[in-house]
Amino acid sequence: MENIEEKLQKLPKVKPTDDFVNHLQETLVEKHILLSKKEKSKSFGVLPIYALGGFLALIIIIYSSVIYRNYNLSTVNKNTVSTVSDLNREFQPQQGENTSNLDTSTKSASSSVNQNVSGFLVVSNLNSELYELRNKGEITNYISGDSNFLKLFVNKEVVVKGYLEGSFDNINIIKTAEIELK
Amino acid sequence: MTFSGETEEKLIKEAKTNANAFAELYRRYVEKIYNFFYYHTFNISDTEDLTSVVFERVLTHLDDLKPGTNFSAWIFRIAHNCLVDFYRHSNKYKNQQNLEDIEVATEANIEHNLEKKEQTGILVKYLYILPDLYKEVLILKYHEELSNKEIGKSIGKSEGAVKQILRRALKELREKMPE
Repeated sequence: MENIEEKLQKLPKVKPTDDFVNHLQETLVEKHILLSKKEKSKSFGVLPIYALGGFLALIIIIYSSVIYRNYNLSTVNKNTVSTVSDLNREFQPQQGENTSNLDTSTKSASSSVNQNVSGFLVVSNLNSELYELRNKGEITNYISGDSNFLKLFVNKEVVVKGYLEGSFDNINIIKTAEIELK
Repeated sequence: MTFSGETEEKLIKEAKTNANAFAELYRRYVEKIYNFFYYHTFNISDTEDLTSVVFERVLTHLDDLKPGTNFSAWIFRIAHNCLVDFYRHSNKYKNQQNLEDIEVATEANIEHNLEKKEQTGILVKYLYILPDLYKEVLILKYHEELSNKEIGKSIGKSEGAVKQILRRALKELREKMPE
């Protein structure tokens, strides 16, 4: 005699009518297509919003970089050394005035100024840029300083330092020029 | 494009975007779900309605189905919820249908030989008067051949709890059924 579990397992399968199965399948497929279309239209609807968001983000980035740049320029002294000859001309009196302030190493170094020194002169008030370039060995001669206080380096030694009168333009941008100091 | 030979995992993935794949998934489960409801309601009309509701819910929530989820347990969970809603909104079965009505329904739809007809009829009758949870667990276990773990997921109980319910359901059925 069969036990109850076996009887339960042998419960006959009830077969739904073909009409019901086919009709429900058709309904579901139609609904599926409809839902897919809705999903697609939803995703297309979202796309312009993403594009607009991206565009706005780009504008903000550009605008903020412009503001940042302007802020940097405004904080830097608007001094101008347009040419190396200007620089030399302005350096001459400064050199004399500030000789007493020079330490011994500078003095010894300044003697080398009397010799012919040729190379690239770099003007910048951003020491970090100069140090970076100097460390890379890309430049040997340059002037650096904060505000009007500038230093002229030749072969990694300070040869001139002192206050510079006049004005610098775009002082935060490294300027290079070929010079010949005597 | 035909999906008849596809594995269930791939079919489920495809069914999210492809109506034909969904149709194949439907064909694989429609009879199981239909039987599940039939042995609860013993009424063709309600069985058809509930089966439709289940597959509509499957269609709506298929995107929420995480990869690796047991689809069988998931769909029977939906069926269980539909059944709970159904019982909540209509109390007609326990009140209106009597045991004779059930036999009429089974005779109309079940294909089996005459020898077993009587035995089946008796079992169905006593299955019908079992508490809903007992009936559900017995059907899922022995008719739909789900594991205890899958049944647990379907009815929202632990595997241990399913074992206990099964034991009690079988005991009650044995006690009620004539020798």
